[in-house]
Amino acid sequence: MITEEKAKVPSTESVEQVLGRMVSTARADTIFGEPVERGDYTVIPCSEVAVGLGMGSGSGPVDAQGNTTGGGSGGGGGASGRPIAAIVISKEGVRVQPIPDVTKILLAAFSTGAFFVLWLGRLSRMGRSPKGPSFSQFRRAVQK
Amino acid sequence: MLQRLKAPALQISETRGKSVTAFDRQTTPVGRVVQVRWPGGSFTWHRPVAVEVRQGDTILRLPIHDVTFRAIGAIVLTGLAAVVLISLLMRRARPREGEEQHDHRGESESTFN
Repeated sequence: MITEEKAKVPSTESVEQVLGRMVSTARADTIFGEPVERGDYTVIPCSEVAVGLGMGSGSGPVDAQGNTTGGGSGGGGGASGRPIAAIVISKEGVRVQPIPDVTKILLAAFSTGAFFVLWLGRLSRMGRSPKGPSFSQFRRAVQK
Repeated sequence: MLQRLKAPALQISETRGKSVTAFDRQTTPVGRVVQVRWPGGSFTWHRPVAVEVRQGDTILRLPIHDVTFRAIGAIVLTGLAAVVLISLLMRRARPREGEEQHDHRGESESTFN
């Protein structure tokens, strides 16, 4: 029984460490960079940070002598960060310059387009079966 | 450990970055933290929301928009709207069961070709 308690201590400590790191993510300096001065301009970079983790443990059935026959634990996590905007301070005033992620936008556009084309293809095939209307019927309905 | 486990499951708070004073203006970036906790896990989302500009007695709050998120949302919503619209039109184009029986009275089979 004492051995079991000793075995649980390291996992509790690791959970404590990980949770501590999670809390540090909530600090302002994780998303706002150091101000950069160039001539009459001062720029503050801003980014978004997301961190997630999960863990669990379990033990096997208890034998006739009252000892657990086995057990295990596991966990996983992930983190992501990306720039969102830059705050530009100049003589004229303060403005927020957005930073679009073109790759992500294009991927979303291509994915949506591909889904749409596949769905239209399925629609035209459906017309050949007796379950639904034909594609020509649909075209006539659109033209009405 | 117990104190952390007893913390609320959903916590939303505001953070403030370092203030920068330039051209008689004090600029302070503002962020928002969303923390979700459950037994054995946690999720933290921290993003900038606004910039507070203080000039004299006036405080101006400029919002920081996530352009990427908005663009992706608009693309996906447009796609879904098109699918829903076409589905509705399809339903309108599909002949009703009663009409079908009336039109094809006396026929052994009905086809949609």
